[in-house]
Amino acid sequence: MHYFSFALFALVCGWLMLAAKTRRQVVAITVAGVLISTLVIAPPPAEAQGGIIQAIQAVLNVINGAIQTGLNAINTTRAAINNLYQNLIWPVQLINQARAQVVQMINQYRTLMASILNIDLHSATLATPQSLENAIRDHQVNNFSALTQAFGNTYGAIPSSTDASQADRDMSDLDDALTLDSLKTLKVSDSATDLELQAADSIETTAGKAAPGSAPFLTASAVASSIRSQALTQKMLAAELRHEAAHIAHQNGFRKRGAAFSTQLRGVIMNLLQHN
Amino acid sequence: MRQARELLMKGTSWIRGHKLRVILLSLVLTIAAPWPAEGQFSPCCAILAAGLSSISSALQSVIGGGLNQILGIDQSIQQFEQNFVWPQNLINQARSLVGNLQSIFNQIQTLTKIQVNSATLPNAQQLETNLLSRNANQIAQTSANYTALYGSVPAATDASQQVRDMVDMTDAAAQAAMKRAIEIDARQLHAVHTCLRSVRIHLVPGWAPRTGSLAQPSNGTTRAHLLCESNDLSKLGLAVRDPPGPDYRVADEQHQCGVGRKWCSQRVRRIQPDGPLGCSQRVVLHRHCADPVRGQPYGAWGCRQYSFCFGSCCKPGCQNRIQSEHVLTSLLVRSSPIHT
Repeated sequence: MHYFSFALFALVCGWLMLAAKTRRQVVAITVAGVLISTLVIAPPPAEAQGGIIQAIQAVLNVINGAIQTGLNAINTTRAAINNLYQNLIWPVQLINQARAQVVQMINQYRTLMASILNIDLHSATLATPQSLENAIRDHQVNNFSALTQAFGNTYGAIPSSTDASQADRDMSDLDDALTLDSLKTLKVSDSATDLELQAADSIETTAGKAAPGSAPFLTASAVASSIRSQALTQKMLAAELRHEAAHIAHQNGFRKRGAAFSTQLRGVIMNLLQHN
Repeated sequence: MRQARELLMKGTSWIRGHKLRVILLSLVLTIAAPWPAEGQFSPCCAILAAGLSSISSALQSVIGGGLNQILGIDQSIQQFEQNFVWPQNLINQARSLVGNLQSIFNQIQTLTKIQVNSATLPNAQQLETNLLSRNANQIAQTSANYTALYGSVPAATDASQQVRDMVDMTDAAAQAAMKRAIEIDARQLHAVHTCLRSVRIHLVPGWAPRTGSLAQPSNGTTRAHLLCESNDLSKLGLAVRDPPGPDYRVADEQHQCGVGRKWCSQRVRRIQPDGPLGCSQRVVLHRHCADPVRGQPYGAWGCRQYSFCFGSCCKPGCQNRIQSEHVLTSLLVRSSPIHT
């Protein structure tokens, strides 16, 4: 910009010098040129740098004062957090101790518990009950027909319609059915319990190598497993409840039939008395 | 070339003839010519340079040093967390365990769905189907099926009032037990599956896993919590949620079976530490649980202990009701021979 202004000024000034006729005009052009170049074209003088020392000192004061204090405070706090983590919240020594304890418990109890759970409970001595007992205790769910067959062989079939009243046949059938239902549920429960134990072993084994960050997974798994286990217990409880309900219903049926028989007997006696 | 030489000769002669003008023009142009900027070697710039140097050294020593110390501590924390608190391999191992357990649980669920019906005669089949229906809506049919099989209370002309009362009471107890059994089956199917599918895991140590979402029918005073509501999903942060498996469908179907039943959600109490750090105890499901099962987290970090409600999210007395029903039927079973 300055060079452009200077070139323009030089052209104008040179042209005026060439065009000047008298010496007075030359002097006037010279004076005007000097004035213009001094007042208009010349750049303004730079300002003095008097306040820079104070400004630099102020910046240094901020750095050495507020910022240093803040950084020291952050440093102290982070160090305290680090100590808290390592010494109180997740002390490595205690973590390792807990892992070792889990492993020790596994070594101490797993085999023992497995041997207890695998104790042979078979007690029947004759062939037919043995067959039924084997079917009951085999933890399998794909042989319900064999169970039904063994049950029928052991306890007999429902009397035919010529051998018993319909009410007796119905009640016997339901009793047998609920018994079989409970036995089947028992087999299901045994099978599910095997799976639960398998899951428990997995959780236990993983717990022996767990870290605080992985513990929530294990805890959630344990919670889920526990709820499953409780559900199975309730299922068995429901089966037992059904069974006992059928038992007292059956006995109550005897009362009802006793009342009916009494009425029939009364009618028969009345008939006899009338005939006599 | 010749013209240029002539022009030069003319200019030279003009300059010789107008020396004053040339001198004055040169003077003016010299004054007006733009001068180069000043160099950086003035005293003012030296002060500025010294000041900036001081600031630079202060930045390096004070701020840089402080930040380096903080960085060192943060790196130490990071290494500690990566190596001891959240080691990637152990977290992956735990995740794979969860996947394996999910597979096992699916097998168990399949097992629990196996049909066990065994009756052969029509009346017995009808009652058995009702008893094994796992559908609480079928409870209304239980009495009719029961009467069809076991008969009704004797008429007043057939038995004394005492016998009729006894028969009626015993029938009532037996039917109640059967209905309760249906209810238990229905509840465990509902609640367990629903609760399990929403077991969530919070990766921040110290957060207990939560089973989300309990709910209860608003018009049923005797039913326990059955379904669950998602709770505070937005606050879970890095939570991991079990993918909805086959349980979803079963639970939803069961949920839809509850025709005429209005469900309302119940917010699960948020887990809060209620003890000092390292010895905190948290309630996962419901504080009003009748029989809380206490769970010790594996590893026992800082002796934390979590408590969670008995399965199926029982309301108070839910388990007790089952037990009392059981005791009642047992008593009747034992007392029946005396009265008969």
